[in-house]
Amino acid sequence: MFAVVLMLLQGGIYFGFILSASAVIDHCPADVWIAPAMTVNFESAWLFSEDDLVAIKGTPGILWAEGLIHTFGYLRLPGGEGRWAQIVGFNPDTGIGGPWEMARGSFADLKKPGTYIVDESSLPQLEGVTVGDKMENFNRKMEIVGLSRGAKTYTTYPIMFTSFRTAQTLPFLEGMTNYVVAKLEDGADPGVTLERLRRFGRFDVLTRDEFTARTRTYWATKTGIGIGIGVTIALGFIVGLVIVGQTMYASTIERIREYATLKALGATNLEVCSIIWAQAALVGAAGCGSGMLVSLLVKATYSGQVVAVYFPVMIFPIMIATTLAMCLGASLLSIRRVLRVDPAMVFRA
Amino acid sequence: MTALEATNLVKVYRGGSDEVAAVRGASLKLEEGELVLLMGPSGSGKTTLLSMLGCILTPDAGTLRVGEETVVWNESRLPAYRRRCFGFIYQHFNLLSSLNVCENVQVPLVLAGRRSASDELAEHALGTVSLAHRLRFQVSELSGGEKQRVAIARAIVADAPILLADEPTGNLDGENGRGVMALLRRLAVERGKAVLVVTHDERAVPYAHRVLHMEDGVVYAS
Ligand SMILES: Nc1ncnc2c1ncn2[C@@H]1O[C@H](COP(=O)(O)OP(=O)(O)OP(=O)(O)O)[C@@H](O)[C@H]1O
Ligand SMILES: [Mg+2]
Repeated sequence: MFAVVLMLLQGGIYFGFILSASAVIDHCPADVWIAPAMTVNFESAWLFSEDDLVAIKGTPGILWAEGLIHTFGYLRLPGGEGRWAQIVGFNPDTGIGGPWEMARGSFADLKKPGTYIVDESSLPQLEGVTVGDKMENFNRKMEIVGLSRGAKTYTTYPIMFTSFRTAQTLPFLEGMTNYVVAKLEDGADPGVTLERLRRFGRFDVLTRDEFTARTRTYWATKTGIGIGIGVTIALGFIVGLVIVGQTMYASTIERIREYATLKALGATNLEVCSIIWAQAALVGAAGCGSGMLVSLLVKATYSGQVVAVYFPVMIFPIMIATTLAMCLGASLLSIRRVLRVDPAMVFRA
Repeated sequence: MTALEATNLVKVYRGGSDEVAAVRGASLKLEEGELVLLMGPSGSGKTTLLSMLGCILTPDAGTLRVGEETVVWNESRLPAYRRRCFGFIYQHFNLLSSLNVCENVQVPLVLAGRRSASDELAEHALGTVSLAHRLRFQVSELSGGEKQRVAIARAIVADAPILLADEPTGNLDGENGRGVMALLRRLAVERGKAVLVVTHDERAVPYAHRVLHMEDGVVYAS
């Protein structure tokens, strides 16, 4: 059970993390992301001039296009401490690329320069900042006017939203943008339209799914997080294998005389093995059931807090299969032992 | 009718460098309806011989006929001989601790694929050993004599023609020992079982039709 909880929660944290890493992309209604060449993930796009937006808007097949900024701010909290933060600058008139759920306030409040929305889940990292608080971001005035919900941080930095215009007042960003996100006209051929955009030569032109995949792949493979969680899951598997294997082996040894008796009564090797398998399946079912229950309880208790835990539906059948495989693997030692047991031992003390 | 006939059975235990010739050319015949004792000093090879007669241990040489059949010592065929032909009774009972009395008796029927009839047959077998009232008891709640009677019920439930017992009274007091011997005798006489009992116990002699002696791996009639 412990192993199941460990594997399931690690898996849940992994998926929660991976989903968070691409959350802004996934919730943005744009079909196409135009990013500077060599962009590997959502956080690290280089800059290009906002003037390109006009040319992109004018490309046949494009219904609308908007600038979108992702940058880092350096905040001076009301208490005086410094804090880096991830900041997404979007157009509050359309809401494209902005928060998808609000806990307090609205986009419209961002039309006033220097205003920001903080995601609820990031509040613990901001030392008690609340709506209405005033502070500084790179020496520019900053005021918190609302709280969003669901944009969980996947780094150690809090996540905030502001208007595209306010974001452009931050260092290096005057007249610049990180992305242009665009919607295709109904009936426009995506292949042809994307090819037209690529002809600018300076951009990575990606569909939403491509950019999501690129961002997730980056976090999963380039940062050690995927490997770290993978290793933890593998360890959970091995720990479970060893614990279950040892327990089953001990109980097999304890009952070895009874297995010999069954053989002397004419049980075939297959019949004796199926007893062990039945035990393995039972242990697996119990471990899986209780493990899933505990994992769901843990998720319910900690959800909304700093770590995102997400269980895709598929994780449960995969978990059941994994646990069963684990228990069957763990039973191999016992199987080997009962296959070797000599029924003649029934006559001895 | 001859239930079992062994000819020149040989078994040599090989443990590392030293060899123990436990049975060195033992022959015997067992008829239906008779109770035969096999007696002899400790280490003379009685248990080894009994294991081979029951198709539990493969001999190095010799032949074994069970009923009409000559046993083929093929690992995959032995379980079937054990199920069909033999009931075993041990000094140490060897009941399954996780099953209750009735379930223990049903095991041979389940292994033979006769689960559907098993309730009735098990109750009947337990009736034969006068334990019908202990059906739902756990094995741990039984006395030694009761355990041995459960083992006998298990040995006869699938109607095996041959009963092989190794020191069945070895862990029982005098009265329970006599009870078990009387029961085995009845099974031979009334049910036509061929019963072979290995024992040291002189008190078993009056229950036997014949007594065989074993010494140094060879069987002698007396
Ligand atoms: N598994 C074994 N491996 C090696 N030697 C064995 C094994 N089983 C029995 N022997 C040896 O074979 C010989 C005969 O043993 P067996 O148990 O058949 O004698 P027994 O007549 O049943 O003795 P007892 O009356 O003490 O039960 C003994 O010398 C014993 O040490
Ligand atoms: Mg013996």
